[in-house]
Amino acid sequence: MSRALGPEGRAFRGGDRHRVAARPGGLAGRRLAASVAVRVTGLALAVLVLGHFTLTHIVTDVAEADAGYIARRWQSALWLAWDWTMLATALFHGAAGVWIAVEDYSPDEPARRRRQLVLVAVTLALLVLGTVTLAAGSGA
Amino acid sequence: MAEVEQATVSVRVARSDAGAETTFEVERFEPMTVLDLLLAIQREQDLSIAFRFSCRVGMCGTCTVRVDGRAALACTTPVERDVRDVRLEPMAGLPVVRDLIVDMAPFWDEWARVTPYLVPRAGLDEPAVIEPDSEERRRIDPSLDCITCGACYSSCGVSASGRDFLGPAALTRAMVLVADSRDAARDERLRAVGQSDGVDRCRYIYGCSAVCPKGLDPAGAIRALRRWRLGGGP
Amino acid sequence: MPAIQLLFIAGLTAVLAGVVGFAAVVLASAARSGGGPHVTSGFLRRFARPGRERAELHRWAFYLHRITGFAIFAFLCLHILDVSTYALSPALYDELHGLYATAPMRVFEAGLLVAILFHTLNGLRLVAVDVADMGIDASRRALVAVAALTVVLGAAGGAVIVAPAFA
Repeated sequence: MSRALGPEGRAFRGGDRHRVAARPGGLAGRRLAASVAVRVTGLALAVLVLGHFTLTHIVTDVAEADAGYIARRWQSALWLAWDWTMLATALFHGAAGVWIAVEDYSPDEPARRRRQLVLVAVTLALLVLGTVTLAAGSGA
Repeated sequence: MAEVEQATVSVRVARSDAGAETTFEVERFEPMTVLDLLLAIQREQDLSIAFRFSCRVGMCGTCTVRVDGRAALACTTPVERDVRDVRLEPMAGLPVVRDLIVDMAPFWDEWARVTPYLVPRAGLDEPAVIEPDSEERRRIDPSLDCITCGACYSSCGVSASGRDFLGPAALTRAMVLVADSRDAARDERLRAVGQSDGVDRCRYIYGCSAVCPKGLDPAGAIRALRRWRLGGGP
Repeated sequence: MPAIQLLFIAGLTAVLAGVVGFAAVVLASAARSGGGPHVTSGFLRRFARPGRERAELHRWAFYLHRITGFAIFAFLCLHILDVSTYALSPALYDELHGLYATAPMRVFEAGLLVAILFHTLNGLRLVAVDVADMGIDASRRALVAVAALTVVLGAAGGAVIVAPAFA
């Protein structure tokens, strides 16, 4: 748990002039941008997802949201834009959250890197799949 | 429910040695603190029980333990009349040296990383004073007087899990100094708290502010740092 | 039962297993940290004395926020896959979609709604904490409101979703 230990196993030698060493590979800029992005996408998703869920489960009964329903919906540019925006922001926001959880719960560096790599790969694959679905489904 | 005064208190203490006694019946007296319980056990029942204390009046921050899971100063935590049993454990998130004694080194590591002392700017008056009724002093006040007891650290869901995190105490110290107009190391500190194990690791658990025996507000200090990080300072 | 539906059920089972596993990891870490929730007499005693452990609700909120977030993301992965069958063939999508009308799926969807509601409302609370500089007591009041809204809206929405199965 201790980092940067001196020879006697303590880092804080009380009374010494102790200059703070910046942690190697400081990610201040990226970290800040990511945390702001998570909050902004979260706000957007509050509208996008709750709206989507309400429309497909409450306003319409879930059994009636069938292929015909999708065909009608994806004729409108507005709903296409809504759905794609929702897809991209939800994948980003969710992946960012899982990324943090992986950081917190991974037992060591190699495991963390492996899991995060899988996460990014899966997320990108789903983004591509979803985009193709929207494009093919609305153009067809 | 009527308070029934208990003649004895049953105390369960976390012990390091496998064969050590863990449960003690201690005779009450009024008023009684958790430190009194520990001293009574040591005096009358088991000389080998290990715990730290010093001033006995809530000023030095030495006797921090967990009482029924909650971090507190043993010397200022009362054992109330109707309490039948008490569970004592060492602080969370720090290596246990023995019984209730922990190694505070990780705590001090984090403390040191925020440049925890004033670095005076050039050209200040001698003495350089912040007026007691000024806005600056009022902003700093809720976070001064930290006795570095570590109760906040133990109560933080992140620090207590042993994860890399500067922690509430170090971040509060950083905030106090960043807010100090006489200080020259502001950018260095904001960089330190903006790193991957800085303010972004806070999970808004408020364990720190709930438990501080001096009534400080580390959660508020962390919020202030998050705001200042965006704007480059207070 | 059509193959596509079996495939979906397999996927859903994997998602649920993943969520349960993740929840176990979160709660195990919480127990280890010691600052986490304690199902002990002390914990219950703390709740009996309001104001003594004001942060306790926030701890639960953090774990729940993390677990619901993971659950929603895991379901999202499955959902993108299932909607993608529409691009393969709308008939295939309809064949799969028949599952959604069944009672078990409706119950699952109601559960999903509760998860989405909590995660969204709690997330809004977290943003509000930073924007409005909310201290521990203001935040706890907001959290109680989040919990209440989750229960009320979740129950109402859940009833609407599940009702047709028992009509």
